[in-house]
Amino acid sequence: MASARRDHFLAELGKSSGVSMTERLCAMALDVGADGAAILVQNDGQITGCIATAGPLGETLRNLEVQRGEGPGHQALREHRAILADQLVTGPAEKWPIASLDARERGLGALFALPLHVGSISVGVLATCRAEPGHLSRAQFSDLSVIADLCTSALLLAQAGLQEGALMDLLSAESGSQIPVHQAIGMVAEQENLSTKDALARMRAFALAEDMTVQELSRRIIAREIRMDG
Amino acid sequence: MSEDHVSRASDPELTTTLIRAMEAMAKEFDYVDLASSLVSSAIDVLNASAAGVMVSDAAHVLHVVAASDESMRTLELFEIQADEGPCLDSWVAGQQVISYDLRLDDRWPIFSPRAVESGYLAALATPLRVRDQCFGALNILWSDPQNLDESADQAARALADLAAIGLINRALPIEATFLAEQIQVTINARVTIEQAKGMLAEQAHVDMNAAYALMRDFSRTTGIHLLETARRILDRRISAAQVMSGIVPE
Repeated sequence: MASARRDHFLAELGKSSGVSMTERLCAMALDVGADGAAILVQNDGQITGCIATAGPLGETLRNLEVQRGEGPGHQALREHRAILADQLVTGPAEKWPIASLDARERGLGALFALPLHVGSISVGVLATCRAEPGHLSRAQFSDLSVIADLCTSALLLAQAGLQEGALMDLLSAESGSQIPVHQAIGMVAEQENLSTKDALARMRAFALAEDMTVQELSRRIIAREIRMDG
Repeated sequence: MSEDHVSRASDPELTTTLIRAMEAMAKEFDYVDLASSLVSSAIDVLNASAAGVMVSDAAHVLHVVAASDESMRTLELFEIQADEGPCLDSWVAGQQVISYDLRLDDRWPIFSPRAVESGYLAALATPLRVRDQCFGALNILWSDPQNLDESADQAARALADLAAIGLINRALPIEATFLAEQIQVTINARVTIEQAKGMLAEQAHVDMNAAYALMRDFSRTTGIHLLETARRILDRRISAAQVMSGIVPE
């Protein structure tokens, strides 16, 4: 499943070094026509923190989303979809009453929030903002979506305890059939009474220890040749 | 234009079937349900053996969002078309792609042998389009190539366009970005459904195909959409017993 766009951003990600991978991904999101970017993490469906910011409005974005219990980031998380609030100044204030008011006070014209998720597994939100109102072009939305996918993969791999070097290799190697992986996640979650997120982390750790790919492990779980609790 | 073509294109039965397909699709609430309705209609209208819908994500990679048969074998026959196959060619070119005999077709060295091995000998792929934007393709497969007659391409085109109209009806502010966003939602919905299939298969001790059928039946009986059903299974808000009995917990 070759994707030139994904490869392009992966190459960009590989070039820069020094800061953490999430900081670099955040900086890449800023380059998609934004004045601020933030990677927000969630717990139990609530935004609980911010692990990276970029740009002159990055901190403003963090404060807005983390301190307030409402806003496009929260909505993206709740509704499992991108929230493109391109008219914070002139748009209907009732949509995001608290955040919108605050955003206007703090000089934000537009705010975009993309969920970081894989099916039912949610890790957080990628948010960007602009001082001026205005919509995202289709190309910009596509680029942000690709960066969001990389953020999701990076955060999930990090949660499985992988170091940054190994992480880069795995991000580049992530391909092949994903359908068995999704199905096996559901099976393992049930077998071990885990969340789907923890089930995936468990599968990754198991695959790594047994020196097989997650895809291969997934097929064997579905064929009921392997049970992770047995 | 052959006689067969003329007779089929003016066939009142075909028109009725198409209208029924449109009504079925118009009732569907979300895109995953719409895509599932599209594949069922394609099988009925075109006398086909299998059908699948693939849509492109933001990174320009095709993903399966619906298939007429939920066995891993069939799902993967569509999924490999992210790399090679009539679906990919149709989406890239924005045109229909037809193969009357996959055994003699050397365009797809990976896809064709696997399709033939699964018993499918003929294939048709039709682009899914909204205005000038091609966002995926409908792929139809036949075990008996004779059923891929000369009116099949028109009927497939009509179905694909009906589905696209269905998309427009749901997405009134049909800006390019909005459609791209909806497609991302649909792709993730399909992933959620796969995860729920796995969980339900484990709970009910059935295979993936049966798990999907259970979810689909529950969804039809209760009127709870497929994606919402999948979410409730994964959140453990409904049990396998409840899915099987079609009873919604209070």
